[in-house]
Amino acid sequence: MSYIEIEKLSFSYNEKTDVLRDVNIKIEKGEWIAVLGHNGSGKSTLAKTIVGLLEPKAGQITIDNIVLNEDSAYEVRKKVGIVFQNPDNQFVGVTVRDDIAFGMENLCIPREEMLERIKFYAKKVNMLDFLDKEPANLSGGQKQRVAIAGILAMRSDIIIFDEATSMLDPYAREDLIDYIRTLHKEGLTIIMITHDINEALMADKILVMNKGEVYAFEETQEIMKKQQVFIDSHLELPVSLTLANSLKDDEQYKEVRDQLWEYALTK
Amino acid sequence: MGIRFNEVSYDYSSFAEGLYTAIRDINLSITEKHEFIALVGHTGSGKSTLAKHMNALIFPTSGSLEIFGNIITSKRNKNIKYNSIRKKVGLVFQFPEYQLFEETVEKDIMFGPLNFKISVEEAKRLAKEALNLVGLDDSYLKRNPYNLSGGEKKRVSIAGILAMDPEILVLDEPTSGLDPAGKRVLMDLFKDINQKTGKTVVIITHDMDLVYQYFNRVLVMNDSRLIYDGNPDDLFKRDDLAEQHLDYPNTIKVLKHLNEKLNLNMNVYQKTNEDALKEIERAVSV
Repeated sequence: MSYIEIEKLSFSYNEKTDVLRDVNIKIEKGEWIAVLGHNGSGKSTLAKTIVGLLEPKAGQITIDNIVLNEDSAYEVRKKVGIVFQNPDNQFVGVTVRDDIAFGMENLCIPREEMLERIKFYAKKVNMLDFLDKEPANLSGGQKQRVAIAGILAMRSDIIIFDEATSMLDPYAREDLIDYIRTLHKEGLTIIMITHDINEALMADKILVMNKGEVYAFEETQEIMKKQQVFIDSHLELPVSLTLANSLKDDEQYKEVRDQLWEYALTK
Repeated sequence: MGIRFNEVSYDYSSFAEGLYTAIRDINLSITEKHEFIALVGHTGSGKSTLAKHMNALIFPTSGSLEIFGNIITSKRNKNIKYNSIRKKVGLVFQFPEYQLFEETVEKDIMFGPLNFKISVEEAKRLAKEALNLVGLDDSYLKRNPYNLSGGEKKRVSIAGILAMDPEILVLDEPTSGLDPAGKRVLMDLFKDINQKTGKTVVIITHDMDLVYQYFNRVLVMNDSRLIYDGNPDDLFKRDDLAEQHLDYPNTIKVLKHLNEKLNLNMNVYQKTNEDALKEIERAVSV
């Protein structure tokens, strides 16, 4: 059994059109999955069903051998945290400290331990000096880091990033991605929904959603060779890979192609 | 006419940081017709503050601005109708889709025109026109804005500004949060509005690929100063952009990498993937 198993999942907001259709995915513990797809492809809906925020119309989600349903939702939510696109939409506390505590409070963690965890995880995301500040006065990148601390403090080991970098400027974005890389190294399972193909390249595997269906789900290096998958799904590969895939399959271009790949995977 | 900045500086004062000069000694002239301008610079460089001056949303701390014949200084002038300036220069903030609030798309777009005391009939007509201009058909008029996709919401909110029929349109990062195809569709739309109506369009963006491909004039802000005002081609030929916290377009970066690693002698200044591909093929076959 995989760590996360999604079987025959369908979801509909209005009974008429299915936003998710027969989705089957298996994710192993510690994997970093990037989810790509055009606007309206069902990426975010998928994320919300995994954390139990939306109830599927059909199908089943199993996380760490627990089947997600009304009775187990509480148990499952401890394992999965989600960071949203708009950092302002997820703040509840008056101070950063309150905010990191919120999830733990819901889990009835004893006060002493809570205070310890707040310090520990605030330090981890580099926000220890901001514990008494109002979340409203933080930058976008800082807000996202506080949200991550709140999730880590619940000892969740799966984090879903729902376009968490898209409202950040390029520098804050790089910062957050660096941080996700660290979390991945520490063994967390990461599901990153993104529009940014360069971000997706850092993942172990890429899942491409198209009109509510899984269009492709493969190792990053493999899927990047398939230009057509991206064209079909209204996505764009990075310039370097578009060029690599467009060059004729000819010996004289081998060096150029290798260099283009190296560029895509390292820059 | 249009907008002219004369030695404009603006200071923010905050409890946390004290006095902070967001823009400093800006001299700049934007004509009201046919311009298509990109405004770039890293976060905190003063882009948004500069944009907010363009429709007198904020007043300069020192220096002055001329906006369609109105002289704007640090003091509010009773003789100036600021409302009419805001009608002439339409400002679309970042993530305008979070500001939709009416129960139908039509009402949301009509909100601006009605504020400028235009009759309901006329406002309805303008709403329909603006909606079509952003590429949505009449069936959207009666829909609830909350049930639209992100890209559609963005279009509706832009239509809300277009319905006021501004002479100049200023947009703060209008393509952020959209997928690559959505980005291009929206950029094509702005270019189209610019060409069809002749309205000057100013767009704040971080995306250097868009700057290189779509614009003929680019303004660069760095550390509160306007450090470049010219065409993108010359800008990206400079080799000191990293010091200005600016990135190069992807085609240039990739071709430079190939030149360096494989000792090729390509002309790296290619705007499209197709042109870049031709240049690679040319260089390899030599």
